[in-house]
Amino acid sequence: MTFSLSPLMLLLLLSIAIQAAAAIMAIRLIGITGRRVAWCLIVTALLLMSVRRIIPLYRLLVGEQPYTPDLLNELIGLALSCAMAIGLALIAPLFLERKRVEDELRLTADEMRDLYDHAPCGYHSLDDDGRFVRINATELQWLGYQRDEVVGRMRFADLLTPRSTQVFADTFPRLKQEGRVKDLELELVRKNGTILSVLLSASVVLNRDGSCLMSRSTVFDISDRKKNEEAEHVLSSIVESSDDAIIAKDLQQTILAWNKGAELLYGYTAEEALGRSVIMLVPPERYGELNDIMATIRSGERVEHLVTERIRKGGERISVSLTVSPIRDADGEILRASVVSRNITEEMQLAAQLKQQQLHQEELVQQRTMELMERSRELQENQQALMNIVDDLNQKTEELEQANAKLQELDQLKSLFIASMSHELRTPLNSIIGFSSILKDEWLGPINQEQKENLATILRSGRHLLNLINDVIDVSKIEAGRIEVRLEEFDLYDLLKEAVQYVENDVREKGLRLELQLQHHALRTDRRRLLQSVLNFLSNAVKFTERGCITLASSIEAARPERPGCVAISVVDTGIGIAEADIERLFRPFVRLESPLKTLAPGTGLGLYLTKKLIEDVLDGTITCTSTHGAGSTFTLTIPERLNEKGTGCRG
Amino acid sequence: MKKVLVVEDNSDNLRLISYALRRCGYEVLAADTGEKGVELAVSEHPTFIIMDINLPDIDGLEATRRIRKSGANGSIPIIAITSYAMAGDMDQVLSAGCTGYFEKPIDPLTIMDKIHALLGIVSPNADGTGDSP
Repeated sequence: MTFSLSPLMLLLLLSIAIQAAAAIMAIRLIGITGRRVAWCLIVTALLLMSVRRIIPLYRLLVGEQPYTPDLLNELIGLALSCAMAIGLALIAPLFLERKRVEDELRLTADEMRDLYDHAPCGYHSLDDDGRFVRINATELQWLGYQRDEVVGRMRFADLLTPRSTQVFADTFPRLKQEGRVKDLELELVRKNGTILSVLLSASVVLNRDGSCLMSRSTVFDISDRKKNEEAEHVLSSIVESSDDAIIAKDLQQTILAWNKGAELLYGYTAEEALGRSVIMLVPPERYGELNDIMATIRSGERVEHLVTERIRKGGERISVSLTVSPIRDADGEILRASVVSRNITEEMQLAAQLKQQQLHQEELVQQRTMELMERSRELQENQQALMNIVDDLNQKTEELEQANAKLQELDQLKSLFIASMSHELRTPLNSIIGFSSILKDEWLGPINQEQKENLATILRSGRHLLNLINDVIDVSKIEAGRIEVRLEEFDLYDLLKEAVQYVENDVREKGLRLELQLQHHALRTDRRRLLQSVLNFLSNAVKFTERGCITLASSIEAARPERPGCVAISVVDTGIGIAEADIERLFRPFVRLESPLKTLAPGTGLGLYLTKKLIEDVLDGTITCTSTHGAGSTFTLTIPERLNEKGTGCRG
Repeated sequence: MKKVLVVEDNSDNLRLISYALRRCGYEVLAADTGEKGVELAVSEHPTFIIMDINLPDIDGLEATRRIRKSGANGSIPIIAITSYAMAGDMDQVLSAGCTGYFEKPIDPLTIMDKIHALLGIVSPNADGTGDSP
């Protein structure tokens, strides 16, 4: 096939190209403008038109059938396509520009919203009624609410504490009137009930007619600042109320802070002191000290409890204790120092006094120590002397102990001697007494009066000697604590009767009366020793009574809770009696009272001593004597009816 | 004549007691040791026995026990003579079989009255019937 480019073909080609270009432009605009359907129709029309050109063009090219085009018609089509393409080319930039501007606007709005929502401060807008219209995310987060809980539903006033409600109510009219309000301190209640301190600035948006449409507010969270302020307030209160003078100064010694304590201590008011140099307080001779302090402060160290002198307003010098500390700024740099000073003038004076007293006391102590040392030396000497004496005493004690041991040995020997001698003495004595009594009684034949009297003397002497030996043995046994108590049951009456038998003869011979007031009573005690005691009383009475009566009487004392039953036995005589002063001596051994009968009345001098010992030590009783000199005596013994039972006896 | 056995090693005491017994008409059999005393008591059957407790061989208590064991003499009264030092051991004396006891010293003028009182014998007339020399 031969391909020849005819004018018609060119026309067709041109027409197709223009229509296609216009269609492409229209396709681009579909996405940009809002009217998509219209643009789609235009694109479709253009494409259809292009197709209508392509078919005859194809036929021409393949030459199947000769195409006779309507040239005019084609020219009109071409003109229309051109007009459309030109129109589109003119319109399209307008649409594109608008899209760019819209895109830019959208971006800006997004950015604005982001800034609005996430600003470090809260934003909200309220309508005329005070209801939330808008609120940013930051403020919502602070308050703890969701946006849809707040917008259109809550009023700003609902969030305020009662105190802030009052403040807000006072301020809101002014806001409407003046159009804006600045730095209003309010307290909001968070959803969880806690308090949020805020600083609020607001402006009013007016309607066209000048009425209030809405208000816009900026809100800053000042909780931290509030907290700091409170802490600062507490600190400054402490500083202000402190008795210590508290000063702040910079490194050039300029006074920056001056509390009440400082006013009191140094005499300057805060107005007088602030801005002036600390040097006004320092005595000239201590300027060097100030440099030392500042050097320490610069190195970051504290100066603690420095005792020094300062000058008050008016020139008075005072003693102070200083503590100087560096104050660092936020970067840690030392630019200032705090000075805490305390008046220690009184303490210093007291200390000085004390020191003087101490010195005085030390002197005294020294003096006293010297005295004491002297005394101590004397004491040591005395002690040595005493120790010598003690040594001597110890030696003497040893000697005494040896002597005592020897004495005890001797005592035992004595007892042994007495025990053996008693038997040896008594046996021949018994013979003397026995044989002289049967001779005197003329059993072996009649004897003359003189022989009888001599035999009577032998008999009397023998009996006396026997009594003496018996008494000595008894006394030595009692004193050695070796007497045996022999308990027997017997009748009181029988015992007294037996005692009477022993003296009846003598009583009769002396022409005395014997009166008995006896009763029966069961006893349990040492019968032999009781008999011996009663007999001693009776024989004494007989011995010392020349005329009148001897009475033997007994009485019973019934048992009481604190005292066992007792028996009292009395011997009453009408004899010579005993002087009161002598009664006490009566019971001592070998005491023989002065008496007109002394020569007439033989005795061993042991009788009453032994009797007392027997009654007290063996029979657990008591012995008493009452007497009137020249008119007679009464001897009474009282013993428990049952010895060794219920223990206490009849004493007391 | 009624016989009385006196067992006593001290010859002075024996003589004194013998005087008193003879004055009351008794024949005195004397033994100076415990064994002789037991022998005589068994062979002679005395009316009563006066027994000193302190004897050189067997003591009066042992002698009394032997006499009591001999059977024929089970009921003879035996009167013990005790020393001063023995006071307190009278239960021993009685449990050995003695009828009664008297403490030394013996008073010859009163001993027979006491013996007769103890044995329940009506005192014979001491005067006149005695075989005093």
